[in-house]
Amino acid sequence: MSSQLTVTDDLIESTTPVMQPPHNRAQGRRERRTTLLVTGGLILVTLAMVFPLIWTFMSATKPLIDAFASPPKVFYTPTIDAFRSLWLETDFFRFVMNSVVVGAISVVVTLLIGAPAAYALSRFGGVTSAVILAVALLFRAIPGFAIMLPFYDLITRFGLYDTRIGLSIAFIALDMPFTIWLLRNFFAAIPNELDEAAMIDGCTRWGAFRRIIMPVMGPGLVTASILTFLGAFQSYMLPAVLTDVDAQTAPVFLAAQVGQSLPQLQQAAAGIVLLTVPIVFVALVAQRYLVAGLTNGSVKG
Amino acid sequence: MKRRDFVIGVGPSVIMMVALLAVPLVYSIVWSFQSVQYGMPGEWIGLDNYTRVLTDQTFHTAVIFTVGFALVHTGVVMALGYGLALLLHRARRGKSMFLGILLTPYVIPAVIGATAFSWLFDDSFGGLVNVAIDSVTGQTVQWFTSTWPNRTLVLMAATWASLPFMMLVFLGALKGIPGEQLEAATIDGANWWQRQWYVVIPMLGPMFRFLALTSIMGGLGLFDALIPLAPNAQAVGTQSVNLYVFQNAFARDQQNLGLGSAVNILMLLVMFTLIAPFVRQVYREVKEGS
Repeated sequence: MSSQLTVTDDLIESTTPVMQPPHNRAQGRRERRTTLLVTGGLILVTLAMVFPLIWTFMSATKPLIDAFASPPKVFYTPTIDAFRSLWLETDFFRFVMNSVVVGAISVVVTLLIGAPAAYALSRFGGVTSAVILAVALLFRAIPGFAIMLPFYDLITRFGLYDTRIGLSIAFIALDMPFTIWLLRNFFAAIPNELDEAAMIDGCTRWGAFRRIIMPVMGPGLVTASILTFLGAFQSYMLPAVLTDVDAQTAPVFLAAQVGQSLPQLQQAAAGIVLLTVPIVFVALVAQRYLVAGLTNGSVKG
Repeated sequence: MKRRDFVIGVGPSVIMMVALLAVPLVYSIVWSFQSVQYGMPGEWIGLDNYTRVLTDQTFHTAVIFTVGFALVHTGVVMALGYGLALLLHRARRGKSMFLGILLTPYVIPAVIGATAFSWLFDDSFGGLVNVAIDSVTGQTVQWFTSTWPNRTLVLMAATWASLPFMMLVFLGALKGIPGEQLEAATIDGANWWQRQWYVVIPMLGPMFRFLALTSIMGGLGLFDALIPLAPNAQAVGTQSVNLYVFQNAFARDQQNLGLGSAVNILMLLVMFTLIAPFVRQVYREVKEGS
């Protein structure tokens, strides 16, 4: 895609002198006013975007009778009772652990299998690679249920229904096409000469991959890890179909909790807060990688 | 790279994709011609599943709602995403802080975000929105039990969740636009709107098309968000195609795998048709590029 985005019209670039627009006081004032408007607009939009979560946070910290009172109470004495009861009365922690463990297994295995494949696809040209990559792209367009229903049947037969392993296998399979594409684009950006130099120095192809290429792939691997982990962590459809009690993940638990009555409802609000905070923290800290992955992986494949 | 090394690298993942993606897909195709329940061998019934689905009024409603949703949602989220990207692009400071916070609705699980969103609208949980509407118009909106309000709610929640992604991608694209072109247009007397319309948007054309494609495909797969947003989906007319499959093939009282698989295969054909031109283009690029 990116090749099409670059501008091909040399004429404009070469004949038009590049000038700094003249700066005078009136223009400077206009600039500042625009900046002010833009910043104000951004603050408003950002508040609006996080408002549902702020409201949820308020619901979670209200006393139980006020939590979902109608009309809503805006002023209240905050309490952490909902968090305490979520912790003591439900298996929330276990479900979060399921989410984390399944996410971690998915990341490790997807990278172990996907990275060599992506590397090979970036270095071995021709029809074979093109076909594999095209099919991987097609796989991403398969509706989840078309895979999930037979999968359910399959893992039930192997006794893997409602296990972390069964769920992880599903995530690994579904993530593989995307991971291969994403990593392949990162590998393609590493110059071929690097491999060749290593191989002249006596490395085998996979020795060069392990010792020379992987160490410079840091950002690509971090990006792929974050996206795979988030994908597993966010999913509702898969764990809803493939798990029941033992391997249930946090989102499925919370969604079921919402259908219940008041104490459960407020526990769900508390659970949402507890899940949101770490994810947002990750998003802030790893923003660079997340942005790279979302723009790169989605637009180029 | 030697052929042997290529096979070593690609082998495991290809085997895995065949075993865990292609094989289940073949099952789905076979099941779509069978009457089948979990754990039992199927029985061939030819095209019965397809004719049943295609004559099912509930399915028609689901298709119309899903397609309408996918198109409208794509239009809305792209327009808003572009606008928001322009704002962020113009911002002088705090860019990465705004970006980080704005990403929140996108990085949290869809089902959780939709739940939080739904609470603002739910009367029985002190829904703030109806309190506001009531104070202005003296009426309340039945967000969960009447058709169009519920559809609007689903659209708003989905837009809220996917807006950050659109914004992010547009922002990346805006950064890639050479400043000289914009300056040249300014010198030629183009105002801000003209610069957007004649310079920026044409440059981003291919990207708009690609994003529209992925967004429409994502919209057709609507599922997670409906769990909290549309508890009465089927009665209200907010059942998506995927929810229809889930209800028919997985809900506890009926496990009609054949019927569900038939819908899956129809959906698959639509998806493949949509993505085919893009796959062909990528195939050519990869084949020639190396």
